[in-house]
Amino acid sequence: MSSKQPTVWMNVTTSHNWQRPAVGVVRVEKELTEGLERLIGSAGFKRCVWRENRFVEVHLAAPAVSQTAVSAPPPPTSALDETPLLFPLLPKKAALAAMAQAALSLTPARLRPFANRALLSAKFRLGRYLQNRARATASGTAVYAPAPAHHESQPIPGVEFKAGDILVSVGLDWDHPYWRSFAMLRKVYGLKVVTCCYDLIPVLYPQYCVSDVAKRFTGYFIDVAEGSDLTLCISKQSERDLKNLLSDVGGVDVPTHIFPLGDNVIASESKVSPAIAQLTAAPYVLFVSTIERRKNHEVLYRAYHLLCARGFKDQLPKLVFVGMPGWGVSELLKDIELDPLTQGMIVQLNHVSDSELAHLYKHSEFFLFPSLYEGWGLPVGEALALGKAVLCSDRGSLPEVGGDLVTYLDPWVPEAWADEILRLSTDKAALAMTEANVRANYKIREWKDSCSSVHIALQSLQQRLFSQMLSPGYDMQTEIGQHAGSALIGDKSGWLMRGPQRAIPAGTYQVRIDCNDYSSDVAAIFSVVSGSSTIEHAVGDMEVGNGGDGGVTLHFTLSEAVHDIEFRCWLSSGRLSINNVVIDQAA
Amino acid sequence: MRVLVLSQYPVEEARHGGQLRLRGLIEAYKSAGHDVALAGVLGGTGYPESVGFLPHPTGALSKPKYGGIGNEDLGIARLLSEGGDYYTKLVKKIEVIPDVIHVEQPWLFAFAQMYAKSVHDQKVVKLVYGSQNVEFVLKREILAAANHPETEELTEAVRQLELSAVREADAVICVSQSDVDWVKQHSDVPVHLASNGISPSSADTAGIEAANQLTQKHKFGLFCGSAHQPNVNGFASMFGGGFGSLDHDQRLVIAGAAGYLINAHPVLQTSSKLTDNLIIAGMVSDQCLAGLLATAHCIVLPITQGGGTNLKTAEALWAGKHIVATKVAMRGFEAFIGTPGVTVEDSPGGFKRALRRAMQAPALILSDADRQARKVVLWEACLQNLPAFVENIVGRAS
Repeated sequence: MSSKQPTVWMNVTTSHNWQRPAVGVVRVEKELTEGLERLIGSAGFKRCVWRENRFVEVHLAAPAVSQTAVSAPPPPTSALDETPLLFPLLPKKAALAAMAQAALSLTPARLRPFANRALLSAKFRLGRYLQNRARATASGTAVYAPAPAHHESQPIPGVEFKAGDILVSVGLDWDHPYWRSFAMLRKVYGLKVVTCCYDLIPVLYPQYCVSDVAKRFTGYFIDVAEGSDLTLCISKQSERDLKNLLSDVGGVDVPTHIFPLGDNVIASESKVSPAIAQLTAAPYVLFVSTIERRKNHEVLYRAYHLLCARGFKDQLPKLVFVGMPGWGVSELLKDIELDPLTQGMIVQLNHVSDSELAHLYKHSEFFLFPSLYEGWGLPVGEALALGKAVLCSDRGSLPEVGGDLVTYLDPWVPEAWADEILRLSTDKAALAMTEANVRANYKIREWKDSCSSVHIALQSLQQRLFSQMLSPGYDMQTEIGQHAGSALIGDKSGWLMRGPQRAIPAGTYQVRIDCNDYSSDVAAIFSVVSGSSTIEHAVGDMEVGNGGDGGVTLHFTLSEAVHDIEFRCWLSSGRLSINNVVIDQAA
Repeated sequence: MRVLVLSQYPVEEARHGGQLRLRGLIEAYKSAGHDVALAGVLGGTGYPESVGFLPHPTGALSKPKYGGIGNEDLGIARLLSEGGDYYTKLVKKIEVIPDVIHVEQPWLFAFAQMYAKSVHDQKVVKLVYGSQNVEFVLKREILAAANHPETEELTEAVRQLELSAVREADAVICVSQSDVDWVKQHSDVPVHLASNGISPSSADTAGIEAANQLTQKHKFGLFCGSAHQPNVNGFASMFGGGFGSLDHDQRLVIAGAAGYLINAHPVLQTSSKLTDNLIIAGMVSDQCLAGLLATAHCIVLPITQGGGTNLKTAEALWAGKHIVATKVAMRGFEAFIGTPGVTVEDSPGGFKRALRRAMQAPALILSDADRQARKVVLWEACLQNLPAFVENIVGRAS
């Protein structure tokens, strides 16, 4: 037995392995961790990380693996206070992909097609080898059978999770194996799992990703939905996309909660390099984003090309891209480099510091964000928080960020961008009016509001009562009977039903055990036990109903969570089929 | 009454739906006190030798004019209608001139006409065409799915065979109302509706144990299907595009030869998570199949092509489990749509959602009244009026 109050466990695996400034998902995980701890209090809040195939507790003050873990293995030799790893650890599959990506990137351009073909061939052969190996180990009666899932071959857990506790996991979960254990943590260990959906870009727009990731991420979202009591979504768009996907594939209709991301308000601009100071001395417009195809730098380049071709070059501010070049943009960057019309008008900056970024935002004429799709769109919030006018794509979640303070444009139409860029560049009064409107009406989203929103959702989840339907034929064991679909049937004296030895939170319960087929001479005793069958919580005889239905209803109270609740049936005489066991927690 | 039944398959060790129907027809005639003989040409090399049947004419069918691989049914029809050696050999299999020839499917109908004409001086032999579906529609779907270059020509050839059968037979027997409607559009001959049915079976302890071995006592949905291309196509179209209908500890079991084709189908590679919970059992014993039907939580019928009625639908209804089916799969059993535990969905998303709902629902327990209502799926109910219908046809003046 464990303590009464449920604990909120924050899975901080992502930020724990992160060695760089916290941005994006890492930032969300860190902000929520700190904010929720403040709101919940340290007594009801703990951190855990995934290590050696299980969750282990970590402490903020003295990073070390908790020694209190009940079923956790001994701490690994690489304790948490060792020298930080040079790079964050990746799962094996992701590491192989990274190696392949590195090999391709380092191969000279003329040899790249050959290297690409070799890698594709290797990938195919490896896949086929693994598939054949899996099939070779399948049972003799089946042509193909799924390999035993992780949770079926060994116990999962780790830290002292107790039934009713909440595990919040909002990191880069797809890069780790632990999300596959969420469903089992819920079902067997009675944990309430909260996950986060940032966007469905790999599923909806795999063409903008490094490789064909749609299948993998579809599987990820299906599994996570099954493994979640609640999925946090960062926008209505991401919620809608998630719901649509799950509906299309027949996945779990997981409850969701939309919470607002905080704006990254950049205040300090103390240290600015001479190069940036010189650049910002002349008018410029700004686009802050990794340079990749989905972000659609191309439409801005085309808009500038059109304007320059029409003779407006002298009236245009420079176009500044801040961000690291990513995948699939080499031809665009080459075009920009060589295009004589736009020569000198488009500038790329990389590795700018926070204070330089603040400087760039503050002194820009206005801000641009032409992305083809976003799950949220933090830079738009950043620009608005600094009172800037914004020209923004109308796709994905972006209208949720900018509301009616932003001018929305079709990201596929360069002419529209050209017209608006020219208008704001030449009509200073219009620009000033837009900025004034932004400054007057944009309400900065704060991280404390994000945390409060999530906290309210967690409180509501905490109140959700435990309810579970068990099928004896699938979920229980028998010593004298036979598993027959969902039922256990027997006609000998002995233990007809035992199980399922799962965790259940503290509370008052009713359990209904249904038997719809039995002989007239049936005699059976039902009981509820825990503590390796040493503690009996309720007991009752088989009741025979008028309409042929029989069974028993038992009531019991658990003062503390237990990890091995068991429902048993001792058949003394006659024939009996047990069809259903329904456990409901009383309010 | 002496009944000669012509077909392209025997009924010993009946496996696929066509064989099961044929066996049911023969038993119905026999139960009504008639003498029945079965003859024909084996439609494939997989069928065992059987009294009354010519071996599959593999060599003869290799000529392009017979339609090539996958069109052996049409090839045999053409071969026998030529009146050569094969015609003569099959005639020799007929020991007694019958009163009526029941031609199951259109493939041997031309043979039956030629034979009846040849014995006309001795006896007037009535011809009954036993339709299993609108064959040319099914043929077109199969050929089109395989991108066959002669889809239209072959489809038209089958249509002509079929039209000849429905117009020139003395009577037609159909398996569904929609098929009856089609026949009546093209012919004035008497038509009798005799739905497909099943033989009642119940699982014994060994059958349940065999099923448990296969499923490892997981909660599972069951798909039973023969190696009939529409079964595979239906599975692929309903379960493609990602499969999230099952919890991690639930399974989808494919029993029957359809499993072998599905195992090689690209949809297993492209549809996310489809293989994670899949058990392809392939061919299983009748005992094990009965065990699977008895222990399944849900039975899926993802059939998107073909006419006629599906015997697997009848089996599913009799098994008393949750059913998730397409409209095509419920053809002939429309009366059960919306009854307890029966869900019909034609879109892949709807089908997958319905499967998830069924797998999460408590096990279906039918009331006595519902169980009674489902007795109409048994052969004895489906075919009880057939012998009298055919007797009437035989008794009529030509």
